[in-house]
Amino acid sequence: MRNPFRLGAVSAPLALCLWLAGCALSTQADRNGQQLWPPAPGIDTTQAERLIAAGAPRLRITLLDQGPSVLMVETGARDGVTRWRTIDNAQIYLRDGLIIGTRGLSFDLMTADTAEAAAAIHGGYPARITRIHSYLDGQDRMRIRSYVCDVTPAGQESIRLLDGPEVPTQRIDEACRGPEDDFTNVYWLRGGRVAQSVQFISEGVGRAQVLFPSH
Amino acid sequence: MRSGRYLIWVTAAGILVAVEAASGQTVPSLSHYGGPGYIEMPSGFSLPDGTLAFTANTTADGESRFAATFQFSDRLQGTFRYSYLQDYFTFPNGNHNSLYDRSFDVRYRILDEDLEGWVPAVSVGLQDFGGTGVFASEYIAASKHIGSSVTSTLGIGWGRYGTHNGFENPLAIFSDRFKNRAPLQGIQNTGRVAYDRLFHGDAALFFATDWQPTPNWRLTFEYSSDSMDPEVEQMGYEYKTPFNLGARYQFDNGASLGASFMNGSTLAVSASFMLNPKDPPAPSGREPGPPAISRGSDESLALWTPRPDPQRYERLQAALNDQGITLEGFELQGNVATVSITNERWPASAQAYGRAAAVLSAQLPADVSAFRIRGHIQGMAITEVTLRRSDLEQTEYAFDGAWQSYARAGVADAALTAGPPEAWDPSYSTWLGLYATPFLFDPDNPVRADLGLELGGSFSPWQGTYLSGALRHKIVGNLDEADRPSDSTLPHVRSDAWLYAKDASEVTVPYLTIGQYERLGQDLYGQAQAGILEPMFGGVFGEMLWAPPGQRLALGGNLAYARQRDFDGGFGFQDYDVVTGFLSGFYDFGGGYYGQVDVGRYLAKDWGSTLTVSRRFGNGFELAAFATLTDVSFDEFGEGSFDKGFAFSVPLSWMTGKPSLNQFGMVIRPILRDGGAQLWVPNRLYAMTRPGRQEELGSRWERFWR
Repeated sequence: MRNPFRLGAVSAPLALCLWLAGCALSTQADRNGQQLWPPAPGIDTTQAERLIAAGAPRLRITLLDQGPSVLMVETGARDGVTRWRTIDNAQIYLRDGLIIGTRGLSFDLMTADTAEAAAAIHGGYPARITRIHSYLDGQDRMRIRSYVCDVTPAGQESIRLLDGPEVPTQRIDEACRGPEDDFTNVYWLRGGRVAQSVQFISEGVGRAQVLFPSH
Repeated sequence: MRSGRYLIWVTAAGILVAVEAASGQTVPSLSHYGGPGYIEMPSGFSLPDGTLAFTANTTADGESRFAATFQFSDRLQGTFRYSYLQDYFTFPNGNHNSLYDRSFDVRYRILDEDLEGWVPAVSVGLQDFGGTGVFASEYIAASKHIGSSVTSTLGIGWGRYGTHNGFENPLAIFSDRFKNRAPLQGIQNTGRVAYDRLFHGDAALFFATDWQPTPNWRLTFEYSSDSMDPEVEQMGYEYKTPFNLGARYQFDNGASLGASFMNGSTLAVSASFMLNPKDPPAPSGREPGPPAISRGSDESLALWTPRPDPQRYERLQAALNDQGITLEGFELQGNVATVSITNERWPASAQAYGRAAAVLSAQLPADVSAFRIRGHIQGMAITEVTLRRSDLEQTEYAFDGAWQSYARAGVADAALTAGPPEAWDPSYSTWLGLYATPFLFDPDNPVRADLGLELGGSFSPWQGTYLSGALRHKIVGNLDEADRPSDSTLPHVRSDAWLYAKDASEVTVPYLTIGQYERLGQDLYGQAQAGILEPMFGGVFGEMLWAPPGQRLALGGNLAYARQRDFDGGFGFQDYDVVTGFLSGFYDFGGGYYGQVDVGRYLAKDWGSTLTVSRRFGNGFELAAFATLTDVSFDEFGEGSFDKGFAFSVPLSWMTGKPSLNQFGMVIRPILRDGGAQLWVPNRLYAMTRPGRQEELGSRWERFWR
C-alpha cells in the first residue's frame, strides 16, 4: 500500500509510544484500523516526543482514499492557523478547522483560500462560495484550481469523537465543482468548532478525515 | 556537485515509480519503429509534449528494434533506435553476420487535429535519415480520431514506405530528380544525411486504423506500404500480404504489451512504456514538512552581536544541519543577521532559503528583523536573499505566500555584497557507492557494462578549495571482453576507451583533483582544476563564466593542458598531450529550451564547434542532443562521420521524491571516436551554478514554503 505519511522505515520505541498514546485517546483504535507508521531513521522526532509528553492537542487524520490513519499533534499556532504534525513530520495547517495546507504527502495542498467557505460553514447558512487551492505541478510551478461550492447545512448528526464520547453535531456539506475535478467536503460542528470533517486535499491524496477529541 | 555525477544508478524500482506517473488512454500507441503509429506504419499524431517513450520489439524472424523517442516540443519529435537483424549478411562461404544498426528519426507535426471537425493531425517524418539507411523512409501521415475509440491514418511514404504498390513520385512535378532514389550507402558513410535520397524515388500509400474496445485494449489493422525488401532479400523473410494485424494491452501505468501478425507470415511481440519528465511520481516531494516561522527568542541582540558564543553558534549550526544546510558564516549588525549557507540537500534552492529562514526565525532573538542569507556552491557565494521577519510571518500561510515572499525578498548577486567573515570550517565528505560504466553498441556485444564499487572523498580545507577523488574497483563486468582495436587515423584520444577497461588494474582512479572555485566579480565565476581530470586524461583545466541574471545569454571560456593517461587507470601518463580550449555561448530560449555552442580546439588537436540543444524541465530533468563538426573530414573521422549523441540527466529526487542534490545521467553516442572530443571535466560552471543563480532560484520559488 502506498502510504504518503510514511517517510521511511522503522523506529520502534517511539512508534510504540505514540501508538499507546493513541490507544489511551481512543478506545476505538483497533476498530478504526488505526495504525501508526513508524518514522524513518534520521527524521527528527524529538519535537513530537516533547509535544506528546507535554500533552499537546491531538487529532487523528485518515486518508480515506489510501487507508492510513495517524495521529497528529499540534506544534504551534500563529495568526489563526494551527499547525499539526505526525511523528515523522508530515504536516497539516488548519484555519477555523479547514485545511489550508499540507506538507509531506507527495501531492500536497500548498495553500488554500478558504475564507468564504469558513464564513459560511461557521455561519451555518446555505451559501454559494468560491474556494481556491494551489498545488505544485511537478516542475515546481504553482498550479491553481478554483472551485464554486454550495455550502448546505445538513441537519443534526451524532458522531463519535476521538476519545470515545458520542456527541450531537451540526453537519454542513460543501459541494465543490471545478473545471477539472469535483469533491464534497463535510463538516460536523460542535459548539462552534469543527469536531470532525472530511476534506479534499488533492487529486493525488484524495480526501482526509480529520477527527478531534472532546476537549 | 558531489559524487552523483559519477554514479549511474540503475534501479528497477526507480523506473517503476517513474512509470507510475504517466498514464492515459488518449496517448497514441507506438509502432515497431518507436514513434506514434500502428505496427510498422507511422501515424500523424504526436506524443504529449515532453513524453519519453521506450519500445522494444522482436519478430520471430530475428529482427529486433529498441527505440527511445522524445517529444522535444509540442510538434517536434526525435527517435533513436538500435536494431538487430539476425544473419543479415551472407558471405560466399555460407557464413552469416548479423547487422547491428543505429538510426535516428525526426518527425514534425505540421497540422493539428480538430477533434470536433474534419481536420486531421498531419506529420512529416524522416526515418533513419543518417544511418546505414536500412530503414530509411520518409512519410506524410494524416490521422484522425473517429469517435473516442477509433483512429485512422492515411499516409504517403517514400523509401521503404514506398515499396509496396509504389507509383511515380508526385514530387516529380517539381523536378525530375525526385524520380530516382540513390542506392543505399555503405557503413563508411553513416552519419551523413543523404539528401539525394530524401523524398526521392517511388512513393506509395498506406492506411492504418485501430480500435479500442475497452480503454486498455487496442486492436490494430494496417495496410503497409513497406514490402520488407531488405528482410526478404537478406534474411529470407516471407512476405505474403501487405496486411498487418495487432493487439495491444495498455497498462494504466504507461506500459504496454503487444503482439502482431505481420505480412501473413510472422509473429512479433512488443513492449513499451512512457513517462513524462513533467510529472514526477511525487510532485510536492516526500520530505518532512518545514519548521514553522517563529517569533524568535527573547534574548538580547547583544548576545549575538557580531557573533554569538560557541554554544549558540553550534545550536544554530545544528538546527540548520537538520534541514540539510551547512552554516558557513554568521554576523549580526544592528537588527540584520547575515548568514552564509551551503545547501546540501534541496534540488530547488528556494527550499533551502525557506528552511534556513524558518530556522533563523526561531533561533535568533525576536528583535532580529531581517535575514540576509547568502547561498554558496563549491564555496562560491552565488545569490543573496534578504528576507524580513515580518514578511515571513505574513506570507507563511497566505494563499499566494510563495509569490508574495518572493516579491518582498531582496534578491541580489552575492558577489555585490559583503558576507560575514566566513568561518568556513574545513569540511570533508566520503562516500561509498556503486558505479556502472555501460559501453553500448559494440557489434560483438551491444550492451557491455562494468559494475563496481566507488569510494570517493572530498576535502575542503578552506573556502573554495576542494581536494576530491575516487577509487574504483570492478566487481563484475564484461568491458574487458571488448576487442575492437581502433582503426582511427587520428590520435587515439577516445577510441582506445575499451583499452582503459581491458588493461585496468584492480583499483583505478577515475579522477583525483585539486580545484579552486572563485567568484571573480559581478556575474563572473571562475575555477581551476589540476590533477587526474577524468578517466583518460589528466592535466590542468581553467574555466570562466559570465552569467548575468535577467539575460538569456551567458558566455564562458575554458582552457586546458591535458595529457593522456595510461590504460591501467593509475597515475601514469602516455606521451600524447594537447592544449585544448573553447569559447562557449549559452542561450536560454525560454520555456526550458537551451542552446550551447562551443568553439575551439578539441583533444585530437582538431578545430571546430559543438552545438548542444537541450530541454530542461522545471524539476531539473534534462535531455540534450549534441553534434560536433571539426576540420577532421568525415572520411578521416571514420564510422559515424562526426561526433554526435544524446545526454540525459535525472535528479535522483525526481524518481524517489526524496530531496537530494544527486543526479544520475548518461551520455549516449552511437559511436565514440577521436574527432570532436572534449575533456570530460566534472563541475562545469554553467550547469553547476545554475540551481543557485537567480533565474532558476526564481522559477522554482514555489518551493520556498515547502
